[in-house]
Amino acid sequence: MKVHVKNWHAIAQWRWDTGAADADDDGEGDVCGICRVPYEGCCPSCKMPGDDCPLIWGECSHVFHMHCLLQWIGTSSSKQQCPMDRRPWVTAERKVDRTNNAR
Amino acid sequence: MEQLTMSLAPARTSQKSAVSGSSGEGAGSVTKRLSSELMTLMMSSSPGISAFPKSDANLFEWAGTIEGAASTIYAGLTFKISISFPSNYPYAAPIIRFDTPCYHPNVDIVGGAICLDILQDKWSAVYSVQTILLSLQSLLGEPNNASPLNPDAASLWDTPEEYKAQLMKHYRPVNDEGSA
Amino acid sequence: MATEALQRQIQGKWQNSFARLNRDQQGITGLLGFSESWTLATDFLHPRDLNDPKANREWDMTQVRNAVETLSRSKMLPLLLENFLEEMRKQQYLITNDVNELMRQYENTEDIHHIARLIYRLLEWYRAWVPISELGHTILSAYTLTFQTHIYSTLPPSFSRGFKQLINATFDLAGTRTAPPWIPPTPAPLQSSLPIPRPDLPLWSSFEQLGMLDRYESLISSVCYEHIEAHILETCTRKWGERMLQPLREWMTNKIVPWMVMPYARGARTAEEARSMLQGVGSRFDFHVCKTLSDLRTREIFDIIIDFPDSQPALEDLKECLQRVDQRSQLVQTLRKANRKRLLHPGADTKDIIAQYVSIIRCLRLVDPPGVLLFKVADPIRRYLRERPDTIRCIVASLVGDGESGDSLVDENEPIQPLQQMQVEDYTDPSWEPEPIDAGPDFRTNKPSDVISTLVSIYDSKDLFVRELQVLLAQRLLAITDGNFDRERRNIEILKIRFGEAALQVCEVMLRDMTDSKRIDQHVQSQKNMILRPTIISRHFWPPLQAGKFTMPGQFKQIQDDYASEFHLFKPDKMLRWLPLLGTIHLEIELEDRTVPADVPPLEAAFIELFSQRDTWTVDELVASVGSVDRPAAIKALTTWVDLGVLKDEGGNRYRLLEVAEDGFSSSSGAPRPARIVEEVPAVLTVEQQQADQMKVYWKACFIEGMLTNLGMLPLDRIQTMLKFAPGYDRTVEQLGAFMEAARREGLVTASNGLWKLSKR
Repeated sequence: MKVHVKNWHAIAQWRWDTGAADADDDGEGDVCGICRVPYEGCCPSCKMPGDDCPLIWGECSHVFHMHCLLQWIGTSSSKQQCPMDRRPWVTAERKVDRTNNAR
Repeated sequence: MEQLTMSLAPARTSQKSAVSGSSGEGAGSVTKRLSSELMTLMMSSSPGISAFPKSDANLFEWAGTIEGAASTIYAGLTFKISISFPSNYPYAAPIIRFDTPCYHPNVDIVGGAICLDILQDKWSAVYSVQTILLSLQSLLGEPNNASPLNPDAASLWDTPEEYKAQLMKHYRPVNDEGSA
Repeated sequence: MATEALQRQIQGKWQNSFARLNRDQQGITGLLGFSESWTLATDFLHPRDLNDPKANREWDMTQVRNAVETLSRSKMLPLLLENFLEEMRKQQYLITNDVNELMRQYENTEDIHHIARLIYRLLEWYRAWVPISELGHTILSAYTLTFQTHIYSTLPPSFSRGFKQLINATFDLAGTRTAPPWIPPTPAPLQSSLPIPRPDLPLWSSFEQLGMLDRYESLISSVCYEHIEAHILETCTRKWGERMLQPLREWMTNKIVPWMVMPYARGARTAEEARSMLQGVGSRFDFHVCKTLSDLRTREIFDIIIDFPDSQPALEDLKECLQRVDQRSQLVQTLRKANRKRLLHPGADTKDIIAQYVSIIRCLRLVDPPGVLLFKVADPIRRYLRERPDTIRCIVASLVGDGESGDSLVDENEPIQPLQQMQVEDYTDPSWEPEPIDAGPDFRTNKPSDVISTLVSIYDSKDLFVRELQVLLAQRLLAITDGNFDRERRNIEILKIRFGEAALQVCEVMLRDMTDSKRIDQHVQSQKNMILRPTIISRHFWPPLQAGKFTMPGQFKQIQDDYASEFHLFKPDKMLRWLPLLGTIHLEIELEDRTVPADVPPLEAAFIELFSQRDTWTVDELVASVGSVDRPAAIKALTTWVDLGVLKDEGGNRYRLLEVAEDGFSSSSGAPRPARIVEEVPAVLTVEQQQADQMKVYWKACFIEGMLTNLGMLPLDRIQTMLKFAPGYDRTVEQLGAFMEAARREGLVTASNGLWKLSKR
């Protein structure tokens, strides 16, 4: 017997590739520490998730909605520090090299 | 199911955010965050700490309750606090004061003002009402006697009997009628 | 002394009497003359027997008048009258005999001619016995009174019935020109005063002379009322497609008013006079027309509403009638009762209840624009709908024009407008009007708003609608395979106007996911031709979807991974997570002797793929190979292939591939039927499923405890408003009250003076 696939309509969700190798599958997912909205949601300033409301990675490995972090860095009380660990904020380059990027 | 809540729950706040425009600086985004904090707080059931908005019309003013932790000198006492959120919360810390007179090295016995680093220069946008309440609860048992708002209290800290006497002299039990 | 005085007194009186009778004439000449006059007058007045021809003699009227004159001068007229009335009483049996005879004939035949004959006969008696006018008014009225007293004491109860029938017949007579033979011709002088000849005229004047118009006044009007009622029932029942009130009023003008002239305005000399005489009674009859029509329409109201909008004229009639007669509360009672009996029962479809409710809204708005009636009628319907689990779904389905149910709820002519909230009264509004007097204390000024707003306002929050809408939209979007969702986009655009842009933001994201999926797919396909076309969705913005956790085996896994790699190349900071239970796969199963095409859900595809590795599998082996799948789902998937003749259930949870078709499924016995296995399990969890969970988590204790801890004592309504902070909270204050009561019984809270607080621990 042979199974020929003629066409296939599938449903998938997109996820930010945070490097946290799919620890959660169905859960709420991680939230941005500043606005408390999940990464795949959008920050309070945005209406559309995804490319319009991207994430930002710090060298310290903490991740936030970009808009939330930039706003925090913009305040004087932030002292340009990561709100999580209070180390000076340095934006990390995104690593694109994932061998097994989808399960 | 909770994901639905996150995206849908604050329907009325999202209306406001629509009014306030796309800048996201308006009250809408703050109420959204405050609603989410309230949810978390209500769900988490941390013993001895609690807070709730004072009225349904204004999400920026909350009333809080802190019970002294067991095995501390404040054990068995309940303190009411007021929490006032700034319009740029969480980028700035909320203003918190004790409503119940609190005899404590880092609390102004008259005005209820609190000296706590995370409420001042150590504030971070990732802190929340829950973090604050927990910090305050532990502050009760572990005062910072180095920079006291109430030097008397700081000086008595090492003599628990006298300290307790002063504490109880100022303490007023929480009165239901007055607080609502 | 006393005796003497008495004698003198008697003497004086006698002298007076004598002088009066003798009229100061010589000797007793006067007395003799008096005696003659008395005899003549009493003879003349004697009530004669109509049946006795001899009694009918000629009189010298001059002599009679002189005699009366004489008696009058002797002041003996009262005595004459007394004598006459006494004579009458003796003769009354003659009338009684006639009455009995004619009534007997009527009772035997029910023929009103006998009643008419009786009337005329009575009139004959009356005329035969009437005293001449010279005797003065007093005698005439005494006579009339005595005569009428007698006949009314003689007429049997059945006379009323006959009289009513006779009056009823006059409606027809009033319209004809020629009288039936049993009515005597109208005297010429009377006739000339009428614009058109009226054959019923003599009948009416007979009634009047016999005093029947006064005596039977209410009976006459009741005949007219009944006549009106019969006419309305006959012409208007179930006739809702045209206005009836105006034709009825014309009918009144043309048929009833002319008739009314006889009983109510006979004495009028001019048209003007007649009009003023008829005014009062005419208004009473017009009122009765309105009342009768209003009663009829009230009885029919439920069906009129079903028939709307064809029945609109009937409702306009009703509106006009209700302004004239106060039958509003009857209308409310009747409609509420009909709704209870015919609408609000378990057998009725929610869809139908909503449709009828919408019709009720439209109809009652027409009848009563301020909305008091609607408020009173709608209340039980709204309460009932609130209890039905699928109400929101039905409303939402009709909002987006569900194909099968049609979009009857939304009137195309009604402009799409934002939802309107119940408004607080604005007294500065120049068009403000006080509430109608029959508005109850709980009547909320419900400014006329569109139907959708009214339906949505059944619930306290529109969030539920938006959520249901999201579920419905998700179901539709996920079923789309051709990438065409224009219809959904259009619907959302319309709904944005109603619910506000912000509320539908989530739907907006869902639609954008559809567009993005298409765009991404175009890119991926341009890089590498793929048979997989996914819909890529943003989690948190779609309703919870069935998340299975199985892994597609073999080539399917390869296809998924290939696609995901291409996706990741295109969107480096994102990755894909497949929802394995959802979607459809079009397959061709190539077997030794046949090819079976099938459209199947992923699990079916996964299983058949495994059979390409080996011919026989047990259910447990299959499940173990794909991962976490529950048994019923696995068996269902296998059954699909068994039904298609591809697998065979060997028993003992064992399935075998049929490389060669068995009997009944042989390739030669017919073309393989293309199978389309429709996803029966809804991919999207319904709002109810979600809600049930929510209630458990949020609503209970947590929020209430939180607020009572921090705010002290609170009244119930305050707790209710504060609970708006609890997401998805949608209970009524009554439900909250019951919950608090239960909590009180458990000792969690206490209540005093309507204030709730936590029990002291």
